[in-house]
Amino acid sequence: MKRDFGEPQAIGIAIFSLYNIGCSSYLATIERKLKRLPGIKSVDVNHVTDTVSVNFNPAKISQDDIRNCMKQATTHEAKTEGS
Amino acid sequence: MINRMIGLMLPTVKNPRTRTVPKSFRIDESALIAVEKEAIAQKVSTNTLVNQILGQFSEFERFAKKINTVKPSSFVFRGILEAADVDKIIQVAKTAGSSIPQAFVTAKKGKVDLDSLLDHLRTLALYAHLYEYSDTLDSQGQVATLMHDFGLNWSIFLVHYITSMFEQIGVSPKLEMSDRSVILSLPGK
Repeated sequence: MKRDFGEPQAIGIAIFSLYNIGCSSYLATIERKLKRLPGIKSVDVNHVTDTVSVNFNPAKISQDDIRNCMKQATTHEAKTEGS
Repeated sequence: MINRMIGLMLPTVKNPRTRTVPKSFRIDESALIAVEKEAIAQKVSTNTLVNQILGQFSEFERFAKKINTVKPSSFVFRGILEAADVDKIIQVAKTAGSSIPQAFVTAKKGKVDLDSLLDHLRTLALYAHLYEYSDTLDSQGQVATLMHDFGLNWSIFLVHYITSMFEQIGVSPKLEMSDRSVILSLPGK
């Protein structure tokens, strides 16, 4: 039986440092928001190294989109805490 | 079909710790209290935090100490780079690139090849904060982007370090750089 694997799928990996994104206490929020985005396959937050590792489909989402989502999540969280 | 197989070969960034096992240890109470406090602060379970601490040791620290790694602050690191002579940076990068990755990768993976060297670049992003890393793979090939805020001299270092690193396995990636990034392109297999 011939199996149809479809078009080859592009795969992307990105490793972000929380030093460049914002407060590391927002890691849970960042993880939750990223997992909702289209094209995100997995998110792995590391609380020891303060990094967020993302497996994504570059045809559906870019590294900049992911970074922007992370920045928005931390900004929103900071505003919520401040209010 | 071949391209699909290549795509599937790109590793995930999460370490392949797919199986967990129970294990009992006696540890210093003060260390446990510190870890539990940090876990609460980070809003994560003590189990997860301990797993990640051990992961940092097993994936990076135990190999890093063999090459006498030191950890300056980003402020000091940036300052040293800005003050350094470019010719000296290139010389150090070439020497380091032709020896350190091989030593690190051989100790960790047991072999030096394209995949293990790319894993080395990811490891430096994940555990050493030398840059942020992204990597995309499609039928055209593989493109890795290293982003940082350590200035042009750090990009110059990385370009020569990576060039020397891949020369050891006979691979010549196309490299582009700016003062904030280095882009590495490898043609499709």
